[in-house]
Amino acid sequence: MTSIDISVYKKQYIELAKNSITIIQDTFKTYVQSKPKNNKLLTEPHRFIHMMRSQSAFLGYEKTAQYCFEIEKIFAKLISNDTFFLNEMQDLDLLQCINQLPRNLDEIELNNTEIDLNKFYNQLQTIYQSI
Amino acid sequence: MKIIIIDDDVFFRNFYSTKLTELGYTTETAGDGEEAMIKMTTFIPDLILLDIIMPKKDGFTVLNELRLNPILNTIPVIVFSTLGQEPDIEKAKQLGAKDYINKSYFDFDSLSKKISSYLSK
Repeated sequence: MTSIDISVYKKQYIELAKNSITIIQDTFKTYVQSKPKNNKLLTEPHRFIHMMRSQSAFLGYEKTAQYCFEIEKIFAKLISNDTFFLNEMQDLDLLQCINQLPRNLDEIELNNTEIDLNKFYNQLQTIYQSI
Repeated sequence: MKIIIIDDDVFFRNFYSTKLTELGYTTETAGDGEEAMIKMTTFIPDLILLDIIMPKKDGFTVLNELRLNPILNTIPVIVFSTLGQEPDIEKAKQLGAKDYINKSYFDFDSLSKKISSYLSK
């Protein structure tokens, strides 16, 4: 983590992260509902989760950064393979994991702490290993 | 001395632009590789800070275009990305990047020393 005054940049981080999360959630839902499924639709959510990872790590929210990285890896792997898709249950599991991001962000905003995401972190790793 | 910061992430564009301006550099920013190449037709920098994952034109494509450009190919490029895998670093250096830093974990004071070092060569 770079030696900076986090409080100066925290407000901008929160605003940008909220925007990123909205884009990731909306685009992922569109992707899940697309027929046929098109993994290239994950390019934008991949970019935004990558940005969120970078910003989180920069400000010292390491758990959030690692969590974002797990989502990023799944997106990257799917984007690189047009013929592989998650099944419906995995889509729902991934969406559930993505939906933890707002709760975590609220905790950072209010109390400057990160919530315990271990259960969902493990879920993400399970999904990634299945790809 | 002029520096262009090429990054789709507005957070890092703003941070580095502000910090480098405070140090006395003239800065320009671009949100993607395509915008960057257009801006560098009139803003010829002395150093380029370049992200990799960007829309329209990514950092690797920019590196390739820079090395083929007779006006821009001598400008030192520091890639600053959160991608930290060895193949990405190796690819960036093969395409002509002078240095590669992880922008999320790199201390700004150290970066400014690196910049100063490359600009003094």
